Amino acid sequence: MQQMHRRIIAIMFAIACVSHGARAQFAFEGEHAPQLRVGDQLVVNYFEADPEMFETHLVITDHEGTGSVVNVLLYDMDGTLVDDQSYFLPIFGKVNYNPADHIGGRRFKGTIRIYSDGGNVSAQYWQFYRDPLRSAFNTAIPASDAHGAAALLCQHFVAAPDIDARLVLVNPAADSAVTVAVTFYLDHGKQLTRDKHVIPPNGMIELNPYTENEGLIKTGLAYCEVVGEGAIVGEYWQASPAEDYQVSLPLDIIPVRQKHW
Amino acid sequence: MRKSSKAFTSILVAAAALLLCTVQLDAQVGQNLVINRFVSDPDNIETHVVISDVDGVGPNLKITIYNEEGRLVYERYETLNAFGKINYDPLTYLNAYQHGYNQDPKFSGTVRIESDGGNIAGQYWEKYRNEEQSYLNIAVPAADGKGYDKLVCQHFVSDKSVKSQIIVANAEMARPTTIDVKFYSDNGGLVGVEKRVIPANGVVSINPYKSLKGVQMTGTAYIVVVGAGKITGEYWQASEPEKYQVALPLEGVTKIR
Repeated sequence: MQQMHRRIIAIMFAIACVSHGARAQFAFEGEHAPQLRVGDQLVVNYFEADPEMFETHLVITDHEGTGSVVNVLLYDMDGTLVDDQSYFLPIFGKVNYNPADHIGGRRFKGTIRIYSDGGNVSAQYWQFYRDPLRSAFNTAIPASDAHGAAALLCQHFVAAPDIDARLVLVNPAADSAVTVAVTFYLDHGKQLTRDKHVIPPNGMIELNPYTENEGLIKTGLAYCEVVGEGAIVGEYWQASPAEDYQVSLPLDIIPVRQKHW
Repeated sequence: MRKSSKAFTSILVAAAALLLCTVQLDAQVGQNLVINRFVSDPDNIETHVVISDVDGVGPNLKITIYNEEGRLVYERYETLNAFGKINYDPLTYLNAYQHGYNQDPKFSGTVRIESDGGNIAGQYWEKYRNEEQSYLNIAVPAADGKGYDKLVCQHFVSDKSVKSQIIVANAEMARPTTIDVKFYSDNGGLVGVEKRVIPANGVVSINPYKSLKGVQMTGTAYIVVVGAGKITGEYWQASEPEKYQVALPLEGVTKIR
């Protein structure tokens, strides 16, 4: 019996210790990439309400068929609760509505938290401009898993006065602020600025790379790393009024680097 | 005896935890990435492939481009600086390659990136040279090349005036993968099913309006592998009259209907 236990343990350790490289080459049967942007707690990092300017859509999908109840909470940038709604998801169905309808037509900028009771869900945020001349700025972005991560990577930022770029970072914790160090690098790896920012519970910050780097006109990448305890989620938005486009991308969850501060 | 049994159980639990940690560790990064839709149209489109080293090991990369049928069009090796990135337009180098590119530079396909060392992350940017088409500019994250056997397209539009595409790439290098694309209404009712075979290294583009024989609707699509195989995907939606385009990664899930 003991020998069998030992064998099981040895096999499990061997499997656990197989390198990622070996895993990539000899993928185990049934192994696949981990679920992304799916869970019972999601965050739409950036939500902007301006009924005259935008038509926004929050899409929440029950892909597991549990017919769960989803609670949708709107927080402003300081993490203050502004609105709270509940929806019964049809089994394998979805809800698709404009969150701005529930806050009295006022202008608002903040985050949306989605709590699902009963099963995992996925969500998207669509932002459409009412003015047809500004439709090139329409964008859509998936919601993030609210568990967040200790380190995020913005793979490509543009710092320029004529580019409206913003790094959006959200603290998904409801009970404690998180300190995040944002380090900007040039494309070839030279470090630019590193500043620490405190994000309140359920709060959000917006960083413009051009302002953060004191007017330097460059492209590069940015590492957003939690200092101490906590987790963050985030997005990168880039718009050019002159070139008439807007794109939005989720930040990538990355392994924690060795820190020297 | 009881003590040693408890110790074994503890070790077993620890080993299981370690195993789970190892499987779930890397989330949005990987050693193999797929850009599900790459368009080569040198006269009209400027494309950018961004690849970043997230582990600080400065890995060597093999970047390959395949057309929709999975035929190799381009292959290039690059080395990343530690924690650095490359950001380049493959079209700059495509001319130097054969594989029929010089005869027909307009094509679409996939970009596959393999790292021989640490984990990498990737993005694809597509910018139109003509300012009047700049509303079509998009950027999407690269997918984890391990792929999934189930994908969810949370929101599709089936409409004559909207160019919608569910793009599904075969993550397998050596074998075709068969998929079922199931279209559901917003309330969860099945509306249509389409079966497609994706060649090895290939990609298919499914237009909901065509698949649903002209039914005008919005809904959710589930893409499920039939048998063995792994896939990755995106959803693109453009409207010429409304002048916009959006592109979203499809969600890879482990459990669906």
